[in-house]
Amino acid sequence: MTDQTAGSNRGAPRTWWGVFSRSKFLSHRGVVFGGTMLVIVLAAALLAPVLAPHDPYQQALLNRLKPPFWMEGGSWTYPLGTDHLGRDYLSRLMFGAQISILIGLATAIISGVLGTSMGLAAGYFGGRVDAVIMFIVTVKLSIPTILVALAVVQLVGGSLQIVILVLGLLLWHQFAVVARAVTMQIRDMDYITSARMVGCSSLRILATEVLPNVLNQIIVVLTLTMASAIVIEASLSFLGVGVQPPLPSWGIMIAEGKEHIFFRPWLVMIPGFALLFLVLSINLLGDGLRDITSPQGRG
Amino acid sequence: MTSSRPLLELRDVSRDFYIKTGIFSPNKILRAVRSVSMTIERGDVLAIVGESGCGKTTLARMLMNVLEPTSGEILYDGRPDNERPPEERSRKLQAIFQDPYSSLNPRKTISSIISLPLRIHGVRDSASVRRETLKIMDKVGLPARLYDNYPNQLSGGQRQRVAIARALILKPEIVICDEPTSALDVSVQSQILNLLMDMRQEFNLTYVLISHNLGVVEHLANKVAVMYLGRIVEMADCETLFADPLHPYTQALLASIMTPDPDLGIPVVELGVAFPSALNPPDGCAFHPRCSKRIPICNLKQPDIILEGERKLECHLFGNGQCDEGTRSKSSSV
Repeated sequence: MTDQTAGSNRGAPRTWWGVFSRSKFLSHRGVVFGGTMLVIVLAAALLAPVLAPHDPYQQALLNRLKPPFWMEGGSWTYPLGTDHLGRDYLSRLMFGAQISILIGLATAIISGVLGTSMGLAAGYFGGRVDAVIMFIVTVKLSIPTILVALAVVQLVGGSLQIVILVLGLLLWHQFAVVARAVTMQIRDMDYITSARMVGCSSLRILATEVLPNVLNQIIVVLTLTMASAIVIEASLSFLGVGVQPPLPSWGIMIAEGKEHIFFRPWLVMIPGFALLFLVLSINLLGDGLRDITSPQGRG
Repeated sequence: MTSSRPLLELRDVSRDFYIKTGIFSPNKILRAVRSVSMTIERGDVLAIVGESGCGKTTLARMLMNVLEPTSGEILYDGRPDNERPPEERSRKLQAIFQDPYSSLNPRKTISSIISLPLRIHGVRDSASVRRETLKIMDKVGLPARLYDNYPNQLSGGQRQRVAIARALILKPEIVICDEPTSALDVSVQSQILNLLMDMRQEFNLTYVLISHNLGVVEHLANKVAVMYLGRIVEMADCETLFADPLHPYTQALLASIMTPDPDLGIPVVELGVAFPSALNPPDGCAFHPRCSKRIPICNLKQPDIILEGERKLECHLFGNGQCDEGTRSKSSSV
């Protein structure tokens, strides 16, 4: 930055880090809070094999239903106590985070690709394509997500892959609506006309001219969809049709803990708070991203 | 390629738009361009002037091959579109748009914006793309250091230079300029106009210039077409038209030019305040409700096209040899 005349890239976003550090990301409270919380959960999930004090599947019936360390009878051997089969609760929580995040990310990506392509097509081509796609979106919006997920998973049998696939096919509508709205604004810009004149195909225009301009709104939707996918997965697992035991899903942990809710409420509260923490962090981050990327946003 | 054929020829080109007025009421037809015929020769600078809403931009978009004409045909180099490979027109015909803020994709670097036509038309080798891009940037007066910058880091004038560079990188034959300077500061306008003229020399270009700035037109064009409500009402050489406008609308347009002399005040234009709706154009000559010289036939019959050498005119005042001298002498004094 010493040589202004030769460099003259007044804040040119050359690198990813340059964009990040120069922009409003670090001064937005929601992004900083949410980001930090999410990094903590992510670290716990990714480093679970290294950090977890015990094997999450190792049962020890002699040590069952131990309370967490801050309560009477708790010990640091099992920092968050043990469940009804004597498995270490902290280790299960950390491996459970892996499942939640995996499902959240995979679902958001599947539904993101699906919904964004539909929205782009609807917004760009308009007319009949738009009418058909918006009809599908309307139909989708009238389908109760949880009920359909329940029915399908019940029918084909629950497993991680099935849950991801079903949720991916059920949560795309927000992407479609947002991508369509933004595309309709961009469609009439002169740079699109110019690309058409030069002879670009529609596919190329959508991929290289429209998509980059839609992407920051899509990233916001991505975070929100991820949060709702995580909650729905927990609900399905709680109801017994999601991820199957002994996988340590948070929903399963809550379901197993509910037997003991009156005398050992922490069995429900610990995974419950973990879920709250993760979803809150993602939502804070998403709201922050929306504030920052929207032109009339605050901050 | 023989040069005897006109570069671009329009035959009875019309374009309608269907306006939805409600679920149950029938669609209305907006006749944006109504059977326009003209030829554009190599080396011409044809200006199309007219007030807002008269169909200039629709005509330009049809020339750009972005809008299909509803009827009529546009011949490029003597042949209609379906007889030529589709790449040819997109190579030879380029455009410069009015608003340099919406004509450059904010997410792409200057270099990728300028080099896009090159890459589309099969230049894959990145070294030669870079060389060509830098060459054209130099020609239009963009410093090479802007190569990796984004449009939001450029001024309006620089952005318009980028648009010009993008239009010229394939060495086209004809460039459609849709009000290329009206979104720019006055101080930058003349720079861009001079650049356009320099480029015309350098690349042997033909321009179609859409404008409502008559000062620009007088300075640049050698042919002028005046448009009113979708029709070309008068077309002539630039000098002839400015010296001796015949159509009352042309006269009013020329009378509306602001002069730098403050004593002259704001020009008085006898046009009234109402612009007729293109959804419901008046019968007969479309201009008659606003015309100060209208005669009884004007609201009954669409005037025929009068050809007088290079000159083309649509007005009852001059039809069938009834070109009355009074109107003519009055007009040249305007």
